[in-house]
Amino acid sequence: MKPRIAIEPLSFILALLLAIGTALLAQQFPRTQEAHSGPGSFPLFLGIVLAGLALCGLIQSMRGEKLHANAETEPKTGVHMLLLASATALYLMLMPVLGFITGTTMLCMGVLVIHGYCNPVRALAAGFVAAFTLYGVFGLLMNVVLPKGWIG
Amino acid sequence: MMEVISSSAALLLSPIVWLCLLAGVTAGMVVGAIPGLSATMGVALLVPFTFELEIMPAITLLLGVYCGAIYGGTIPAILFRTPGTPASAATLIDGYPMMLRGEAGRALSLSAFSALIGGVIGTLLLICLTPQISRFALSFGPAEFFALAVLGLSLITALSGDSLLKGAIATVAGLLCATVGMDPVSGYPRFLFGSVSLMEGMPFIPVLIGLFAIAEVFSINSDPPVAPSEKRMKLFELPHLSDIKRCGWTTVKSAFIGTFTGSTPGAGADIAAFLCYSAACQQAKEGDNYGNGEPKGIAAAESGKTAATSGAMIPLLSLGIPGDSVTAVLIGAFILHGIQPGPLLFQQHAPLAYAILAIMLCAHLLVFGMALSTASFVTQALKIDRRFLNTGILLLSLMGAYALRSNLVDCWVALGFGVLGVGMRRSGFPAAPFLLALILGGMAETNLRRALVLSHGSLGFVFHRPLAIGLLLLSIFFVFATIQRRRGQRKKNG
Amino acid sequence: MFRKGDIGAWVIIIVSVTVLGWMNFQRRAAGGKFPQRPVTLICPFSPGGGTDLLARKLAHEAEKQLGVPVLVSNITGGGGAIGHAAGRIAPADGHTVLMTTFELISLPVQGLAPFTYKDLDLLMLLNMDPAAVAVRSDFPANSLKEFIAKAKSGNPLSIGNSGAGAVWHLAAAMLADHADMPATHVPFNGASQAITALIGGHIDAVTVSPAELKIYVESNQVKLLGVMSAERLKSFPETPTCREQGQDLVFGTWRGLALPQGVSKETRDILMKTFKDVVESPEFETFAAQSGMNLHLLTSEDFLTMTARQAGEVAATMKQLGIVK
Repeated sequence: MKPRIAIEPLSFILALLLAIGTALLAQQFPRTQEAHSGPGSFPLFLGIVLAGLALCGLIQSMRGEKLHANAETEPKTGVHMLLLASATALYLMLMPVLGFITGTTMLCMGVLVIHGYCNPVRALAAGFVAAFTLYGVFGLLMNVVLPKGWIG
Repeated sequence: MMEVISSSAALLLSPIVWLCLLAGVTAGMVVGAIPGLSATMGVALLVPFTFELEIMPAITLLLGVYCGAIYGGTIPAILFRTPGTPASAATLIDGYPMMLRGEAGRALSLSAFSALIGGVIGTLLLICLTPQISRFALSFGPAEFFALAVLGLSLITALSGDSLLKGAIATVAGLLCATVGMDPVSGYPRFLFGSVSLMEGMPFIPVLIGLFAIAEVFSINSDPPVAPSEKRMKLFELPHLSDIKRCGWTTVKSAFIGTFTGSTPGAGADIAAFLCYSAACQQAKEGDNYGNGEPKGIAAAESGKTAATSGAMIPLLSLGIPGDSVTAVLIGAFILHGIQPGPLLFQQHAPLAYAILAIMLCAHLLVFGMALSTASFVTQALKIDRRFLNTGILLLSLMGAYALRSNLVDCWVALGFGVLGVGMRRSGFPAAPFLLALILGGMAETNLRRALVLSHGSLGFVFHRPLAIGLLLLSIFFVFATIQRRRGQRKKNG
Repeated sequence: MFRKGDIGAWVIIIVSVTVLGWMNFQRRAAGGKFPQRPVTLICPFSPGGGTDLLARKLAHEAEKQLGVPVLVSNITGGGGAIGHAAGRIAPADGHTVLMTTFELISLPVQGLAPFTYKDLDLLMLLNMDPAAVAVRSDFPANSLKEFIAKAKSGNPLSIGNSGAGAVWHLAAAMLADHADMPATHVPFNGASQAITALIGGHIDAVTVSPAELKIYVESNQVKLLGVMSAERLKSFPETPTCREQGQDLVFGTWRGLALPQGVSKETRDILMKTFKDVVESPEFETFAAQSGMNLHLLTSEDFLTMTARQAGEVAATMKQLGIVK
């Protein structure tokens, strides 16, 4: 049950940081003449409101009040999500270099392995099938410009 | 009049029209079901195909795609928590939990039925009340649009789930998200840090895909959803009679709200679906379980968004103004075929106009039939190995985010919001208020500031607009009513 | 590593690698005669607008002449900046053509795009839509003079445009500046929203293209007071130009074709001839008349001179408006 106790105040702190950041940035936006509201007024207002709300939440959770009864708790999820997210991030970084088909094949294989599929050969084959299908539907049929990279 | 009817009928009787309708609806449902291929894109892709066709089959084809795509998005929303079109995001809030309970067939047939009711009511309104509704929609200026957005935001209180505070934080965060991009009033780039890709604002579809589909893949449940365990599905699943009885009033009410929302220029099916859904939540009765698989939630969202497609046709046919982005493409198609939609359409091309209205009705009926007959087939997809399914959803989601603008930044947005979505779920922040705020944020801010420009900076503009005052008062009432009810519930619970 | 059960998978992998290799070989070996594979026409705006409509019609007709498919690809975002950037960095083999618009001039001036018109190889100008000053039919002014007089006498009139810093905002600002009249500029998302607000009575006037106003003029909801073109328009012969009414203003948006720098001369000539024939075909002229677009064909050199001239004007106006410092 440990992760959940930590995650609630953490989310409020994040919201608070976001609010302060926005408010500070919004102050630097140009002010227009006269009474007309400039581009910064709305974000500034929202930032202040958000900061207030986040503070409320922080205080409440500090006082130990349970705000939410049935938050999902699976300790496994954290590691799992990190792996998947970093695989996707890697894919997005490599795609312009490697090209769409190669990149997608590798991502597909990687994700299958993360999900616990043990046979790498079949995973690779599935990756190729998926990549070529996506390329066919989006690249050829729907005429979306896909990154080509070095090796297609 | 008889003449008009007979020549309309002549237009409708040619077999190619029906062939086009069938092809359009089928293509539309496929396009809608693939995330990232929205109704707008489907219609735009088909426009060149219609160059070789007569006007009537051409318009039929495009309308078929439109109606089909708007429904098609619901199928993956219910089955995989992956909305195929933005408008289906409201359906999944209750549709996906129903699927997890093993009631995918029930959810699909109910959604098809509500979509039919919404579509038929919307089209009937379109036929009978077009001049009145379009005049009403025209009276909406910046002040009224601002009030409408505020009303939508006030309904969020009903969507907030257990904690109002968390709902409020999610709402404000969504509003903040909506300010990213070029400020529409002064043209000043905000929160971009030098990037140009997000200049037109946070792209809505990648955010949606991230918050729902990618978050679902990332937070894989230890207990996978039960496969449809109910009795073997029939080839032609009909909606349950008890569901129809339960949702009847919600469906009809949503159809009216949806038609009107769709008819205002600048608010499309996505806003309509969310408004109807939150309005239904607002009036939740004892025993309703919104957010956890409440059939009424599906009925409201589906009926509202389908009615909005008819609603969007109102300004198109009566004024020549697009009601949403799909009808903007449709106007282009009309023009390519030498017809100017607008105030003169019903005078100069009366048979065509009435034939189009009749075709809209048929399209909704056909979508209903197709949806029911394919329901048992598509639920088979749930039996695929969970590992492959999740991988496929992830790939398809990334593609969907990318395909819309061919921009890798959109994939990063989807990934970022996927991670955020997991975080929000684990710490109990609801996703729906965030999304609704993201849709309505731009509308609220831009119109408020537009109204301020018009009134030379004085907030007094509200007092000259009775409609705006009415909407604002209504939203205050909604907020207080919800808070009161929550207090009452808390007392009862202990 | 190699297991019997995996034979199917191995076959798939081998076939895929072969296909991938072959596709790469094809791509590398491409060269020589133009056109070899489908030509992509980049449209920097989303489906539904006038630019997209023009691009799709153009692609559809050019296909027949080139003998390969011409595919429209909407690369949108950044008010057109992203599509233009994509066109600029595309491979210079002629298989990517960019539909360029007025924003090519205004975006760099606003500092919203890291390139200028000089970074593109301008192929030809296709169409030019002047700005038109329009009011509701019950507005108490029947000419530009009366309109200006009305603006000077009472409250400043509110003029709707299609977005801050967009082409129609500049048109309204130029008019106000030229006639020395006060005006409140109200930005909307796109011209059609501004027109809707005009018909709904929320603003006093709009300055958008006559094509966008055509149906409302025909149905008597809106009247045109003047167009900012050198001569009267074919589609609106009764509407006087601004110049006739004492305001020497010629301003409008345009759409043209451009290539990335460095396309070989033969390829360029083929493309130029193809698109010229398409635009001059009677079919295309009917299309233009139906949609109210004002076709205006200019060759590469004239296009370049016009762009250079306009770039200076736009920069000056934007400074005056306070959009750029």
